[in-house]
Amino acid sequence: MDGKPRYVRALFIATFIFVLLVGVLYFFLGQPLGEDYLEKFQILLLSLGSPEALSRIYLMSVGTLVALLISVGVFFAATTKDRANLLAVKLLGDVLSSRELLLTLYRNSPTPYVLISGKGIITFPNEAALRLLGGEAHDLEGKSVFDFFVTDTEEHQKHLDLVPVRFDRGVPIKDEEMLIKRLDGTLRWVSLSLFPFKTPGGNRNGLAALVDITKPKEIDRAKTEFVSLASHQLRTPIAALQWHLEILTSPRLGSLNPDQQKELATIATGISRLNALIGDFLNVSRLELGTLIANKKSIDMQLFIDKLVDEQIQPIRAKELTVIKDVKTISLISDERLLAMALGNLISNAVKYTRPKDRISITVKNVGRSIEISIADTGLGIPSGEQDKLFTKLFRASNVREEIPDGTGLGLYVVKMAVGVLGGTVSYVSQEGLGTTFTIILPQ
Amino acid sequence: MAKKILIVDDEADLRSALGSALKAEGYTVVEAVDGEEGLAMAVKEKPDLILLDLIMPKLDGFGMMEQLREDSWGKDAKVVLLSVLEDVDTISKVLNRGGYDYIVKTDWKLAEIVDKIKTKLG
Repeated sequence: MDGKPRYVRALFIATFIFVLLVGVLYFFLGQPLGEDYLEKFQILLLSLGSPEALSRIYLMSVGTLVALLISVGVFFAATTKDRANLLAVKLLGDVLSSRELLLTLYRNSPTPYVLISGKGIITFPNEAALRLLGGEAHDLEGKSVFDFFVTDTEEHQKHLDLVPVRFDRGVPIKDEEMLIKRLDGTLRWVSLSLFPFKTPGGNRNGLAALVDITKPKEIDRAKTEFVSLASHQLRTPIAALQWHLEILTSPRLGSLNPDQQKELATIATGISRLNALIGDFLNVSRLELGTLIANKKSIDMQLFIDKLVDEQIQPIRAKELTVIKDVKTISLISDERLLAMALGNLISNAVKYTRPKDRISITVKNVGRSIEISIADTGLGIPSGEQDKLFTKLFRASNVREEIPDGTGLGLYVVKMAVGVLGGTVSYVSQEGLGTTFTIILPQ
Repeated sequence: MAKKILIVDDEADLRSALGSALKAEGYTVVEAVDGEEGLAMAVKEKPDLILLDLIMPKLDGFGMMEQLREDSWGKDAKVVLLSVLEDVDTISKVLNRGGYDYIVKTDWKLAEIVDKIKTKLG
């Protein structure tokens, strides 16, 4: 480093000045150095006790100190620029090594990252991204990251088309599941997070993270398929139980006393509940696997609602509930199965959670280009702290778990998923102790 | 002469329940435990109606239907499918191959199935 010789030079100069100053000082304050040094020195020593000598020693000490300070000052002044340079070089070295570190981290991160331009063109893919997309950097040149996303459904295509738009508007995207087609044509599922930012020059760029979730998705699918298979298997013995019970309770095999009939009725109810549970699991697994494809046709809403309410006629009568139906003459084009899942669950919930002799109202009306279906009950309501967890799988609100232990926690999950497949939305308002109103809005 | 019904299902308990209810209505009932036996029985006994389960070992309901429809008598046989599966794909596949009707076992009471059969057989 070119600072070094300067340092040494400065050191020499400083030392020289120091010696010079001290010499001058001693010349003026000390005894003149004549021929008889020893004699003079002796006289000096003898005179040390005198006030004059003491004040001279004092002045010499102070003077030496000042000389030292001046020399140090000169040294520092002479070397300022070099020290500044050395510091600058060191800082630059730190910055460069941390940039190197950052680049190394980016390149080798196990998460696939791509830096993209404002238009989505891939500018800097890391190693993991190259592996994910299945090529070398030059294979990706000029390609837009958005070109890699594919879909197999119309609904998802609309969502996909919005992704570059959202990026363009500077909206960050977090953990969205996307299907990508690699350069060799194979497909992989990724969780996309896209962070738009502006370069110092004011240009929009983006950092996209593409986390490969193919494996977890496969596992999830296998799990759901298992639930589906198991549920189907469970139905066979249930059918056998139900039919044999039916034979037992029929007059053909002889009449039963009231106690026996009561016992068998309990058994029948139990089997029925078991069946309903399995039905729920099957619905959930089908919705999750996406094997429930909407088969749209025209549905007469008045008849449809009547049928669903009829399915609940036993508990409605047992609890002496009043059911108010305000269903305009409306035909909705939708899938019957999914609609039955959604509305059936909401109606049975309303019946289940409303107190005896209380009221349930069902309204269906046109609102613009959509249909609005509301199911209001005057039942137990949902505690305000738990309202955001309501639609999650296996969730049951705390206020009903004890009062009404019979409930799978799957009902509202099924409602949400079914409504999702139908392209609609479900929402609710509720007050604990007063009741809940669920509203489903479906496009026509 | 009493109408003859062939029940093809690998579950003994289901065969016995259906058989018992149908015999009580005066029908003659014959049984088979899988598609292979079912096919042989159908061609031999020439039943007025076949109640056919879908999921069975050796030869399943689909397979038996396909082969049955290739038989000169079999192509006109009345077949009602009984199953636990209820996805639209399966149902339409079955009906397209010549199934007469499709019943999901857990959705129907025995009495309701018997009524339906009575309607079909007259």
